[in-house]
Amino acid sequence: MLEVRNLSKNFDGNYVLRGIHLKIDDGKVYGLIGANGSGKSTFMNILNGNDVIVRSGGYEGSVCIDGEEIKIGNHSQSAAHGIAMVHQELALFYGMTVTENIKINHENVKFTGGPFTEFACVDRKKNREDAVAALERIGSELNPDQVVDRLSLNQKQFVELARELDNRRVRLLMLDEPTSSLNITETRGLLKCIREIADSGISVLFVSHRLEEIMEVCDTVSVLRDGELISTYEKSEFDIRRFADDMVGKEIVKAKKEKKHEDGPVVFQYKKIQSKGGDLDIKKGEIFGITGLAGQGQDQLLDGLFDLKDGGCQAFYKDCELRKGDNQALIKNGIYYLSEDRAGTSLFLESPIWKNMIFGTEERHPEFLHLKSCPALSFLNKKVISAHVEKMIETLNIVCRGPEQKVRELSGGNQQKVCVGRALTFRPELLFISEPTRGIDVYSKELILKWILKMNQEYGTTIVVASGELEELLRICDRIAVMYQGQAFKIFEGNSGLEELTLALYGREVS
Amino acid sequence: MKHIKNNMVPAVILVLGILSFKLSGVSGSYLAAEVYTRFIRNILFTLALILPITCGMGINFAIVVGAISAQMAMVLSVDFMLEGIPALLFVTGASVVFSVIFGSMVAALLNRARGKEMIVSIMIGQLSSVIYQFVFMVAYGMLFEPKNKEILLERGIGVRSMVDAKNISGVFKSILPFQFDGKTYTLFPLILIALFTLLLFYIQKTKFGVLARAVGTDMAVAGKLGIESNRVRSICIILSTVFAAMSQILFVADFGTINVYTGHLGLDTFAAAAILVGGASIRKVKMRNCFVGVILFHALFITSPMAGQNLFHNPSVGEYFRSFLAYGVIVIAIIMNLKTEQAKAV
Amino acid sequence: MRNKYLNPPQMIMFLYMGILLIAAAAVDMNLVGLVNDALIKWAMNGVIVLSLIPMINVGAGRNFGMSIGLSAGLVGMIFAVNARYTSWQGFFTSVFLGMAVAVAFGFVYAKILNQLKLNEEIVGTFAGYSFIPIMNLFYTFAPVSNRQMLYPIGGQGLRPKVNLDNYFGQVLDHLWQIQIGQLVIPLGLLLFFFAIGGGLWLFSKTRTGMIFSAIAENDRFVKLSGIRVNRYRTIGIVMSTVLAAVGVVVYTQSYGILHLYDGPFMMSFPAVSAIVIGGASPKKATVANALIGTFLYQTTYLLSIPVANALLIPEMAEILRTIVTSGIILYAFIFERKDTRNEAHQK
Repeated sequence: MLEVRNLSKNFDGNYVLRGIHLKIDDGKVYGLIGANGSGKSTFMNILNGNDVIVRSGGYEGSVCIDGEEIKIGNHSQSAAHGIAMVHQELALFYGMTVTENIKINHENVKFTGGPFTEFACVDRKKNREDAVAALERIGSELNPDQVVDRLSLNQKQFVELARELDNRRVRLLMLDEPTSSLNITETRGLLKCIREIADSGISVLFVSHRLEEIMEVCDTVSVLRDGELISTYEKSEFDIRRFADDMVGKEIVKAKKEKKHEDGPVVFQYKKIQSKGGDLDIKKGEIFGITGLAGQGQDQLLDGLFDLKDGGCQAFYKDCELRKGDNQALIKNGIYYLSEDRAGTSLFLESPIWKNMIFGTEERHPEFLHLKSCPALSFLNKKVISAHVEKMIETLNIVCRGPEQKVRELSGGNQQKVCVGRALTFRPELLFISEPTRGIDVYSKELILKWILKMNQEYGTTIVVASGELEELLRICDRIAVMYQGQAFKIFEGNSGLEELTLALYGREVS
Repeated sequence: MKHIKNNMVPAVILVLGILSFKLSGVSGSYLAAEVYTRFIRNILFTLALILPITCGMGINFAIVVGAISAQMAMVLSVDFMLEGIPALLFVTGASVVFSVIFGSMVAALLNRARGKEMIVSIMIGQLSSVIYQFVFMVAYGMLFEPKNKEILLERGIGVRSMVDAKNISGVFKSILPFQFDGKTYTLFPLILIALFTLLLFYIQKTKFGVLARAVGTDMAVAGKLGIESNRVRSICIILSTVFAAMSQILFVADFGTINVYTGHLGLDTFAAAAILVGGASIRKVKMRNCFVGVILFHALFITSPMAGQNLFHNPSVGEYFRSFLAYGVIVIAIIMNLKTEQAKAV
Repeated sequence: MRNKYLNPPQMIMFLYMGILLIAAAAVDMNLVGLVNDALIKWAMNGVIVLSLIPMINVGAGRNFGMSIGLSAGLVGMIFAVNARYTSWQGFFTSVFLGMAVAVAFGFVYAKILNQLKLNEEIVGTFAGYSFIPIMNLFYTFAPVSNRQMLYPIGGQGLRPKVNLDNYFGQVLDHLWQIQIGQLVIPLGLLLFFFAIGGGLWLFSKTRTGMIFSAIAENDRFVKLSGIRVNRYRTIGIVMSTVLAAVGVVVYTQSYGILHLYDGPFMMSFPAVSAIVIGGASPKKATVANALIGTFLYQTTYLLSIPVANALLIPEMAEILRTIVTSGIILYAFIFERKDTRNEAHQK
């Protein structure tokens, strides 16, 4: 039996988990749900003794097994206490066999002798027997000598499960989104297997975005929101609506975009992205929201289009097909993308603010260059640039010492303002923004949302916003598409309810 | 078809080798004898590269450090005027000790330079090689006095560039000699090589061998599962250094003289080229790649100058060709590997 | 922007230079002569060090495959000497022809390196190494008629070392020399050197220069901005190759001997070491880095020669130089700050 008392965790003073109390009984399946960033992963990482937790200063509060407090300083300690975890991204060694993967780092060896144990020959026969036994426990009949590369996804997951269960002392098994990439039959198999594991006396902590699974397999469910434990339900009290309410919270919805945009001509089209093979049209002058749970295909729409990620989509701008990877053409057409990975794709952290703000906009602003006839070899017109950047700093209220300050030294909110400043400098016809308010303070959030609206209303920029912040989307968007399993599940007009939207995230409609 | 594709490099080299052999006009027995000599001199260097490749560090060009350890031990043995079996035992023991110490230093440096191990190992090789030269050229005779004055240069500072190693080569030559093509060779090195090959084979079958393979496959996953990657990598580098030291002893024992300042140079490139010629990549290697590679590479190496002489009346053409081959095969191996890796990573 | 403190390699080099100066004073060496030599060495090696800058700044790493550019310069000089061009005609023919050949070589080199981002250094090292035997084949079969360049026997194949005294040896060194007492300032050579440095400095201020540094800092951002990263990388790599060709011509005219075959084999390491001493990071190098670094590196080497001779161990100067070279480069690989993009990704 595992009990967690008053567990908290902060990263540089920023609390991501606060005062969590919970108790998992032997042989029970405990579900944990919550929106992205609500603290589920951090919670599991703490119990698993992950590097990230240890390096960022450990956790506060206590973890007890059978009433005795234990210290989790690294992964080996947590393993020694019988805590095991199956990761969302599979942790398998490709090119090695099923047996090797199951027995890795606790192989049977022919002799033991202190430091020389490592150099003892591996007992392959015994390893194989163990692997078969562990696989049998979860009802799998995989060939233990097979190399894992060719296995199907759920077979790989079984290998992971078997590896964790092979540790005979395992008391608690944590599963992080184990079904996210499985199809229905595979999911069935896995859920059945989880139930069997629990029945054999092991506690299971189950994290999933799919509420039906949670309802089906769990005995108890807790909801996390913004690092706090909001509510806990027993099986008899399960209700999908209450889950959704608890995950979102009842916030006061602030003022919405005032004037709804009337239908304009279609400027941009995603082909075959709607359910039933329809196209997703974006109309001139609107603000279009895209949302969805992590990994439901919204990345493809933005990152894919700009070749930041593999995969992608067929897209048309003003009836011209856009070739993937041809960012030059996108920029020429005035299509601009501000991605959520600010440090990775939208900022030069070691460079001054002015360079971040004007980079790549020279073609639209010849006044930034001295020698307009030969832009490539022209010096920059520092005077014009400084004037422009200082104006931007003032209008966007960026807290800094001046245009020469390095962007690294700014806070997250101010960094995002620099990005917005660059977008304003560029003044695109069509602007894509991903997670514009992630990781920034409340005040800057409002300012950035205000500027998005302003760009749309005053400059007539068509804007596509991808975000997980439903409430913000409802405030600024004319229409919102909810992505589910790679398709636009439903498109809402901006005045829909939050609850309706939340359920759509999980592929459900209000009945 | 797949079989041929996987063994493309060795197959091409084999064809080149046969061509070069025909053009050079040397006799088969001459070639066999030469290849045998080069095989026993070089095979262990190539085997030394296996563990670092297995654990994902690429080609360890710092095997030079192992060779230096052995050179030091051998010069010391001459300095102490040891003879026969005691000399051999001393040389073996001392070079193991040196190579473990230096190997762990190399490992510490390489662990700090993740992702750039190969180029860093080249720099480590260069640096240790000059420091070693400095010690024997300047410190010897200046800072400490050798027992055996004969190894010094006439000016009294610095060791001679050639030191006779008959104290150990004598031992080697006396065990299991045989005659071939009018010259005397010995089987003893072959026995030692077999022993080391078995040892390496055994290491790969141990728990450590499995861990090394796991770390080489995916260091991030290894970290998640609580495997201490740095430790595994260090041990691989240390073992590699020890193997290289043993190889240098075999080399000198066969050659008969210690080239104090140059004996350890270039062997890293040749070992790397040989293992790649044998069909290994910088991420994946099997022991047979070493054997095939050393034989093919050196067969080509021996015959190409003569082939160049016969074809262009210029022996240097063959020499340029073989050094191009040595470096070129490394470039191609790196390019091919990194490309497949990038394709995978995306 | 500017570091208030010296970085460790600079500190070590200053310390080392101090020790050598004291030792040099102890062995009574001619300090004025030393200054004269130091100025020549500075400019003579400086252009080669400057040639590293475009590649570092475009994020293509330190050019360990420099021998490719150097070989282009050698080809230019072979042509000039074969045509028996002397003095300025020879020098400028070498420079311009070398540059032209370097453009061709650079394009091929860039093609290879562009496929292997973030691994340019190891690939460059071996690409450079394997280029040497290819060039050696060229030297062996080059259709050269000037007997002074050929092996005396057989008449085929260039000599490894061709004396330039009758062609354009020291032509730049002797330009506008200013003599003040014993002190000789090679004004022409220095001006040539500074002109190239100044050109690079100006280039870094242009829009293209800004795009260069932007690519080094965050190539994903640049790509997202609709700029073709590979095109700029190619420009940077070609620039480095071309400058290396010019550099080797300057070096050779000063050295007085055209060193073919394995001549360029190990020339990249001292150059890289010099620019690291000057304070260049893996992704950013300034002209000032190159100037300071080359001066420190070459002057300490120059100082160590008489000291080593006085100790009766002449080989020591070369050994110390190699220790400095590889030690500094090793330092650069191991202790330098990781590039910011990787750190951002770890978060």
